[in-house]
This record gives sequence, C-alpha cells and structure tokens, in this order.
Amino acid sequence: MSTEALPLRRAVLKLGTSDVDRRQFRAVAEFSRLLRLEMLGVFVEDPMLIGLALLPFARELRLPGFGWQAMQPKGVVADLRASAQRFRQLFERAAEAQGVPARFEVRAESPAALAGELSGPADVVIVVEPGAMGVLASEREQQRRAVSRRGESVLLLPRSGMPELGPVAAVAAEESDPCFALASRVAVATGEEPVVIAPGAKTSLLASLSRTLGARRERLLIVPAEGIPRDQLIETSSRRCTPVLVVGSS
Amino acid sequence: MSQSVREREAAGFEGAAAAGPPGFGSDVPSPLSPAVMIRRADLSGLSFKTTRDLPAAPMLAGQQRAEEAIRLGTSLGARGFNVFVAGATQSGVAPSLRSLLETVPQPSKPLQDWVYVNNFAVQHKPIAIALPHGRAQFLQQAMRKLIDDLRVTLPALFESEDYQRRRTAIEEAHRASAQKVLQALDEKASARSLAIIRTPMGFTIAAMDNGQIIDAETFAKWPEDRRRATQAAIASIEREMEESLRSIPRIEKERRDAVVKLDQETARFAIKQEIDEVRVEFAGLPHVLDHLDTVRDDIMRHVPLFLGQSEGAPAAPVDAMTRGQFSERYEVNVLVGNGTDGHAPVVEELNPTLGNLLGRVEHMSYQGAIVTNFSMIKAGSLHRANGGTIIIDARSLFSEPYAWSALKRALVRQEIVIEDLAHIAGLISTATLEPSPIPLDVKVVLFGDRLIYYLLAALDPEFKLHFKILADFDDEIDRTPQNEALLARVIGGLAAKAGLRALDRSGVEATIERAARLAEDASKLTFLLEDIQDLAIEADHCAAGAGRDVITRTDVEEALSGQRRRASRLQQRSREMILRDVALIATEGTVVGQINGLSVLQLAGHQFGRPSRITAQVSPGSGKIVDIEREVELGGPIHSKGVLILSGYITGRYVREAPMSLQATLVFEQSYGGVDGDSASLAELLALLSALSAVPLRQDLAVTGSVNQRGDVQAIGGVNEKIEGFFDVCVARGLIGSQGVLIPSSNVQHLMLRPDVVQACAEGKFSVFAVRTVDEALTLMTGRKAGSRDNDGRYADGSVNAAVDACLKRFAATRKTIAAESKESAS
Repeated sequence: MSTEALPLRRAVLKLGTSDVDRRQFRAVAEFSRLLRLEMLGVFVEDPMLIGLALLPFARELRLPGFGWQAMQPKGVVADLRASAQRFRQLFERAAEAQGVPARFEVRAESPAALAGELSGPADVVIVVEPGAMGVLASEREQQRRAVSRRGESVLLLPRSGMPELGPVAAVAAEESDPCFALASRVAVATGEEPVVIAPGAKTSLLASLSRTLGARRERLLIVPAEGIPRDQLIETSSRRCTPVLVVGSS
Repeated sequence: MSQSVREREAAGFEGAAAAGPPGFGSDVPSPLSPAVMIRRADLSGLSFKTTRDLPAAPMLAGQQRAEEAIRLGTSLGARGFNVFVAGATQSGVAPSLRSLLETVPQPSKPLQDWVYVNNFAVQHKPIAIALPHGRAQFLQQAMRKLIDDLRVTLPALFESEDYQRRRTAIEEAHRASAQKVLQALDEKASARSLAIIRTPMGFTIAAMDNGQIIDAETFAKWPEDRRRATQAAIASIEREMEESLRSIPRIEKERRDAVVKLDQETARFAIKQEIDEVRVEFAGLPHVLDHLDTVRDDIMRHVPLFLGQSEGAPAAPVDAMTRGQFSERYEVNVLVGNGTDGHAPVVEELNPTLGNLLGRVEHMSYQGAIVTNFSMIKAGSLHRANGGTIIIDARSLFSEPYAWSALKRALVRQEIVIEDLAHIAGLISTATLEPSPIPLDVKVVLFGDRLIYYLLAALDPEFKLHFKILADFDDEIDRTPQNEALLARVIGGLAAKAGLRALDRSGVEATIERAARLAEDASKLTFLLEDIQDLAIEADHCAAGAGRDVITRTDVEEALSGQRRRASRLQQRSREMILRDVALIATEGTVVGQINGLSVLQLAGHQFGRPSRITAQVSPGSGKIVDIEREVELGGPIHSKGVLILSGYITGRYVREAPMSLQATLVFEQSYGGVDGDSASLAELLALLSALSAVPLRQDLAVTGSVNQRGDVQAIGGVNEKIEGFFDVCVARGLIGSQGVLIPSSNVQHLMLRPDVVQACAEGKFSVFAVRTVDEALTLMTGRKAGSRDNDGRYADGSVNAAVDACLKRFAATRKTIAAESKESAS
C-alpha cells in the first residue's frame, strides 16, 4: 500500500466531560496538517447526565472550588452548552492556526450509540489520555475500547510533555511498509528523520524504542493496528509522552 | 574718533559750517558735502580679488567679550556657572557656539555611558547603571549573546536522556499518586454498586444496577429500603470523594515543584557558566555584577520559557509593564552610548520640550492595553549632553510648558528624573515607569534676546543662581579697517557655507556698507549676520541672472533695491497720498506756522521715513502750549516731554521781564495714529516761533531733531530713512534744487544714505544741512537772521527772535490789560 493510498481523510475528536486543553487541540491540528486531514470535532451531550439530575438527591462536586451543588437538569444542560462552546472555540482556533479545514458539531446522544456512527475507515479517532484529575476505571475502559476498535485508525495523545522535536518512528518490518511510508512523509514535512522500529516478538515496544533511539525521543510513533497489544500502545504513549498513531487496516 | 570720521568731518561737516552763505556769516551751515553722506568701505589693506582668496574668519569673530565669558563659564566646574548668551536672536549663534564649545578645554571628567535595565524586584522602577565610556554597547551585546546562547544550551540540556529520565520519574510518581486517590475511591464506589461520573464541572455519584446507571424513574420504583441504603452509600462516598479530590491539587503542586526543582538543578550549571563569562568582561563594575546576579536568579526561575514551554510551565510575570518576548526582560536599554572620540558632548536641543530634555517613557498598544517597560525609556538631550554642554534656544524653551521649571529642577537636584507631561498635566493617571534618576553633570548654555535675559533676571529669583555667566553678544562692532577686513572674511565664509558665488572686492564693499547702514551708524558695522547672509543669497541670485561668476556691487545694490521694492507697498501708498494732495505736504514756498517734520514708520523689519506737516497757532493766554496729540491721547510720553521742553526754551529765551502769556497749539496734521519720540521737537519749536514772529518757514526743507531748553539740537534715530523719505517725495514732484533736510549735526556720523540721494546732493539738486542750534535752524528755515541779544538785552531789529520777543510782549500787555479790565468790572 503506497503512502498516497492510505485512506485517511479526517481526524475525529470526540469531546464530552473529558478534560481536553489547548495543548491537545494544538497537537490534533498540527497532526491533521501534517497528514493533510480535515478535522471534525463532536461534542457529545450525554442524556444520562441530564437523567441523573432528575434524581432528587443528585448533586455534584464542582471544581475547582470543591463545593457541592444540587444537580438540576437545566443547570446540567447549561454546563454542557458552556463546555461545548469552550471546546468549539479552542478547536476552531487550533484549526485556524494550522490552516486545517475544520467542522464542529454538537450531538445529544449516548456516547455508546455514537461509537460506531461518527467514524469510519478513513478517519483517525483522537483519543486523549485521561488524567487531569485522576483516571476513573470507566474512562480507562473507554480508552481501551477506542484503541481496540477494529478497522479504525487512532491517535493516542498523551496529556502533556509531548516533544516538539525528534525523529518520526514507525514500527515496520521493512521500508515499504505503509506505516514507514507515512512516517517518512511526516518526517519530510517536519524536517525530521524517519526511523524504523523493528517489531520484536519477545521484547516490548518500549524496549524496542529505547534500544533503537537511545536518549532521543520520537516526535511521533506510527504503528500498525495489528501485532501489538493495545495495553502496550497505551502504556508506550503514556510513559514516553509520545503521540502514537495506530493505523487501522483498510 | 576714527581716522575716517575725522577725514569725513574735515571734508564735509566742519568745513561746510565754516563756509556759510553770504550775508549770514557762520550762523548758517552750508549743505553737507556728499563725502559725509555715505562712508565707503575701505579694504585697501586687504589683498584679495574675491572672497575665495580670504582666510576663514575666526569663530565668533568680533565677539571677544562674549567669547571670553563662554570660555569662563564652560571652564568653571562649580555649580550655577551656566551661561546665558544674550544678543539678537540669530540662527547662526548656535552653530558658532557649538564650534566654540568643541574647542573649549573642559575639566577632565571621565565620560560615562548610561543604560537602563529591568528591575526584577520592582518592575516599574527600572535601574540605571553607569558604565565607562563606550562600554554600554558591549554590555548590551553581551546580554543578547547570553540569552541567545541559553536559548540553545538549555533546550539541548533538557532534551538529554538524563533529564528526561528524571523528569519521567517525577511525572510517573505523581501521576500514580493522583490516580491512586481516585482509583481507590472508584473501586470503593464500584463495590457498593455506585459509579463516579464526570460532569462538565466536576464529579457526581450515580447508582448502578447490573453495570447500568440507574435513572430517576427506575430509582423511584426501587423499594424504600433500597433507595435509602443507596442514598446513604452515595452520601458516604461523597464525603470520601471530597476529601480525596482535595488532595489532588496538592499532588499536582508537588509535581510542579519537583519539576521546577529538577529544571533548576539541570539549568544551574549552564546558566552559571554563561553568566560567569559575562561577569569576567565587567569585573570592575559592581553595579553590572549585581545586575548579572539578579539576571541569573531570574533565569533560574523562568527556565521553562527558554524551552518554549509556554503552556503548563510556570509563567513569567506578565503585567502591564511587560510586552513582547520574554527575553526582553534581560535586554539592556542603552540610553547613552557615547561615541569613541572621547570628547565631552556638545548637544544642541532645537525643540526643548519636557520629553526631549528629560527623556520620556514611550508606550505602545498591546492586546488593547497601553503598556510600557524599561526598554521603552528614551534618552533626553540632558542625558546625551551629560558630562558636556547643552545649547538651548531660550525662546523655544519658554514656549514649551514645564520645560524651564524642569530644567531648573534638574540643575538643583543635579540629576535627571524623567517626568511625564501627561501625568504632570493630569491628563492620564495610569501606572507608568519611575526610572531611577541619573546624576547630572552638564553645562547649560542658553541663548536668546537680551529682553529675555533681563526679564528672567528681574522676575525669576532662581535664574541668577543657575546662570551666573552672561555672554553678551555685540550686535554691532566699531567700523575700523581691521573690523571691515574681519567682516569681509565673515561674508566670504557665509557665502561659501551657503554655496554661493564668491564676492569680488566691490561686492564685499557694498555689503560692508550695507552692514553700516543696518547699524544705522557710519562708524559701526552690524553683526546681525542673518541679514548679511540673506543679502548675499539675493545678490547671488542677481549675479546668476546677469551671468556673472562672482557677486559684484551691482548685484548687491540690485538685491537691496529688490528688498526695498518688495517691502515698499505702504511706503508707496504713503507717498501717493502726498502726491495726490490727500496728505498735505508742501515742498516749495513759505508758510507761517507750518513746517515739514519727519517721522519713521517701522513695519515687519522694514522702515521708511515720511514727512508730516506740523502747524502751530498762537494767541495771548496763560502761558500754556497745548500739545493736541497729547490732548487726544495720540502722543506718547516722550513726545509730550519734547513739547514741554519748548515752554522752557521760550520762557528762558524771550520776555524775561513779564510772565509768559502765550496760548499755543501744536499739531501733527493728518496724523491719526500714535506719535512718540522727541525727534519732531525742533520742527515744532520752529513752527511755534514762526507763528509768533509771523515770519514764514520754507516748505522746501524738512526738519528733524530734538531740542533742549538751551536751544541745542540733539541727535535722533532713523536719520537716513527720514532724509530718504523726504527726498523720495521731492523727487516724485520734481527736484527744484533748493530742497533738503535739516538734521542734528550729531547725526552726521550716522549718515549712510542711498547712492541716489548722495548723487542728487552732489549735483546740487538736494541738500542736507547739519544744525547745532535752534538759531541755525531758524535762520535756514526763514532766510532771516535768528538774531541774538545785544548788551541791552534786545534782539537786533529785523531778526526773527526780535519779532518773537515783540509778539510775546504784546501778548503779555494784552493779558495785563484784560486782567485789569476784568478786575475793574468785578469791582
């Protein structure tokens, strides 16, 4: 499969109650520019939250003041709208700064119902590492499911510490591998060096990267969807603070 | 008295007085010789063809007294010995002063550069640092190199494996701590069939059943016991969650502190090494070293900014004092970076506004706000002149608000404090900078009109404290052959500087003669060089028009003629009124009690003379001479004084045995503006005597001169313009040969008449008479002897004075008779 033949057209960033800040938006926009993708931002208004607010005893601990406040459906809706507005601004500014075509929409549906609807084989789903205020088991599970979805390409974005310089690494058996071709293209666009990471059957991805790159840190790691356990990908992205692009099979 | 003047007197005035017309002996002066009407320039001692052959004139030529004062003022180091250069304001003064000051040896004071640097502790009070002469630029470059190097060195250092490993360890450790908190709570909630859910603004806790969140409808269907138990469990988890989540910001802060500490440890060595390299360069300058220490500390606090980590990293203090790139905070603002010649600076401030003198703090719009910082402090001329001399035009200084008082404050405090005009005037009240003051050691040279000097000395008690030296420029110099030669060199210099053709000998002579005319004195030369330069420029234009390579007398005279022509509109209108008999002026014949006086009008630098008819009427009365000009408040005090003197003259000269019984009126006919000065008092007296004696006065002569009570004729001003004014009227009507002007003999030395007037006199068509006494003037004006008292105290029969005396006696007798009749009728 040639580089041009990779059917990636769009970066899809799903937003909701997760905490995504300006750095992640900038990284998504930069990544989209490098791969010539359009950007789609979708803010999901989960009806479950509004349903919770109907419980007479429902209340929420509001940050950063750490004060408890009774939940009201109207209040939840207003908070969701405000969040959507804030994300829209950050999203559009980041896209504009990078010159990437972008669209932002708000969907009032269950995230589970939307899971298969918003993205397809030509999309790169952005998965931002949770953890600004710790990680809930449910969030970890969502992250794992997103990375595991078959046929989809995913970009794992670490929460912070992403290097602005460094080689573009690709896990590939040979240089004709589409992951390496894609890495080469990004490397040319960024003026960096493309590096091949040979997949080791007995060694972890982290160990392979350390062995190949030494003290250097990769600016972007591109891996195929097959062959590497999902937990390893998540751990690699988190531990090395590196964006990892998981290229799904077409 | 110069040789030339004596020669002129021998050739003209003295000789003429000795040879009076037949019948009058020496009582009546003869017309002046043309030789005394204009004094030609004498450059016989100067060998040159054109001014190109002449050496340059020394600076401030002919101004030895002023030069001595300036040299003294600029050499004295004591406070207050600043210099006020007084003289007619000329644009050439400042350059001459500048040239002179650059040669004046001044006290050996080491020159200093001054810079402003950021005050990291109190940003609105930038710190001024003095450096040895020429070192400011080096410091600026060294600081720029330091920051540039650190921008390369620090990122490289922070990309190293060692740093990354340690950083990752910190991040991991703290992330694990934070996650452990929420994870434990999450597990505890899960064990109680509850779920922790994120909301847009925080967290909430929901009940679960079979892995599904329970909505309100389902919850309502649960049994009461279950509902109560669930609510209790939620309340319990809520309490724990509040506790747990409160610890997360603390964990985050610990993480940040650990990262900052790691960053500082990593950066410390590199920063110290770079700073030490700069310290070596400025080892002997403690203030610079102190600043470098604060820079080092500040960089340590803001390492992330060098790594491009503008987000998530500790932010640099950004406030209204900061703008642009963060590295500006380490910049060096070179306020004064002296050149390399090592001479004390001589600065001329052409526009002495408050900001231009003391410096100013500029502002800029940044994201909608008006901001500034230490790098926007701009030097004033006092900064640039510090250690040397500043030259300021006093008139400009006083036309700028607050500038004079600010200059005095700076001289009193001996330091420059930048003051913001907008704040002083209360126009704005926003925060701004308060740069630390800079010590001031400057010599101030103010130049301006004498009037300004005298007003300041009279009205500003502080003025003499600060300006103890007066350099009084002469507006004119004695007209000696040496000074004529000096002026010739000055003229040559002016022409060369203005890029004009050179002047040949005749051109220089004509210019020198003009300088004498401008001085209104044949024995003086003006040093108002701007007028001379203007004349040379116009003469050069005439020479160009005539296709000449050099400027000749012809060109100078043509230029002068052009000057007169351009300014002559009013003069022509005035003359036209006379020629059309609107303004009544007779230029021939004789009339009793009527005379042609002469006055000078000055408008916008151009002055011209014109005749005015003065008439007198007499009758018996109480001894009062009525000055009509004064009665209608058109006469000034000096004119009134002149008229009152006439009473004294008549009282002392006539009818000594009886009280003055004269009622007389004097008037400037057809004069509708103010009249002042006493130069018409001779004419007024002659008109009065004519009216008393009934002896007619010649109308072909005009008279100027003041008189005293003893009958002496005294000098007046504007003699040349007055003669020329009457001459022009006579020429317009046609010269008849007898026309002329009477002037005081003491004004002969001031004569620098136009060539056409001199020519007419030489041809006998016009005359100028110099008179010493009223009697001489009376004789000339009546054609009869004035007459003097004999041993019996009686005037000779047939004389004018005898007629005056007789008339006054009649008036006295008449008055006595009237008084007796009044007394008789009353009784």
